Amino acid sequence: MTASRTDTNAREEGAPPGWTSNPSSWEERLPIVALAMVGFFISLYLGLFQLEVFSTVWEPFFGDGSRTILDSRISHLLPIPDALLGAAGYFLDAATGVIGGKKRWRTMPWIVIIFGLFIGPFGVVSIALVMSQPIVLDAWCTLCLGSAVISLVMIGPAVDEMLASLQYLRRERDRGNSVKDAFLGRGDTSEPEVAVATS
Amino acid sequence: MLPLDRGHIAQLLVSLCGIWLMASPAVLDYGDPIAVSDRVVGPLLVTAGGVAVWEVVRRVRFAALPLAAWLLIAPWILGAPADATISNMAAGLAAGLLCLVRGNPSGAFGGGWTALWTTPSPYEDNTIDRKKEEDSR
Repeated sequence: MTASRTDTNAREEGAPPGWTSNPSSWEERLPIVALAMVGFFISLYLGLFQLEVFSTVWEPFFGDGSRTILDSRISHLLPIPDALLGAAGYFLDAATGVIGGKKRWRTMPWIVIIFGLFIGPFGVVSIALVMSQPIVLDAWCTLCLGSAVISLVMIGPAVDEMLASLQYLRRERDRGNSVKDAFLGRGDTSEPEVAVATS
Repeated sequence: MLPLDRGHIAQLLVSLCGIWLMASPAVLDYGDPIAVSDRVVGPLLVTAGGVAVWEVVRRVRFAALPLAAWLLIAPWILGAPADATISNMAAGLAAGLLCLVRGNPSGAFGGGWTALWTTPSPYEDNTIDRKKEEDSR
C-alpha cells in the first residue's frame, strides 16, 4: 500500500487522515458485533451440550461428528469445555466492539487495540481446532466449522480499526506527545478532522 | 467492501481451494499421509484468502504462496495416489496464481501498515503541529 493522498471531499466524516472511510463508524462495527453475537450463541449452545445441559446436538451433515468432537479429550483439555471458552471470547469481542463512539480510533485507542488483540489469537485457536477435527478425531462438526468461519470473517474489519489507532499513536509520538496518554485516550484528541491537503 | 472487484473474488477463490482440500480426502476417498497434508493446508488457505479479502490486509494473500508451492510438491514427497496428486497440484496452481491478484483497492488507509515504521510518517507534514501552535500563543 502506497501513501496515497486522498481528496478531502471523498472522505467520510471522522475518517483518520489519509483514509477514505472511518473504521470506527457504526456501519463498520455493528456487522462485527452482530457476527460476534451469532458466534456467542453458537458456542454457548455447544458448550451447554458439553456440560450435558442438552442431551443431543444439532448436526445436519456429519452424522455423529459433532458428538465425537464435542465429547473428545481435545475439547476437554482445560477444566472448562472449549466451546464455553469460545462463547466467552465472542462475548468479549462483542463487548469491546460496542464500547466507544464513532471516533474511538483516536479517543479510545486502548479499546480498539484490545479488540484487535482478542480477535487475532482467537482466529489462530479456531484454525488449530478445525485442523484437529479430521486429523485427530476423523470427524467434522458443522456448528464448530460455522463458529470458525465467523472468527475468520471478523479479523479484517477489526484489524483495520487497529491500524487507524496505531497510526494515530505514531503521529502523536512524532508530535512529541505522550504515546501512553494517547493510548489511554487522555491525550489531546482534537486532531484536525481534515488533515490531508488536496494539492 | 461491495461491489466485489477482481481482488476480492480472487481471494475468495483461494479460500475455495482451501475448502476443496479439506473435503477432497473424503470426496476422492484417499488416505494418509497426503490426507493429513490437505487437512492442514486446507484451513490455512481458507484463512489466507479469507483474511486477504479485506483490502486493508490484502498483503496477507502472499501467505498462500508457500502453501501453494507445498501443494505442488507434496504428492511427490508423500507418495499420493493419482487423484490426490491431480487435486493437490490443481489446487496449488490455482491458489498460487490467484493469490497474486491484488485487485484495485478502492479505499485509502493513511499509508497502510508501512506508515507505522516509515520515517517520516507520511501524514505528519499535513497535520497541524499543535505543540508549535501552543508555543506561539
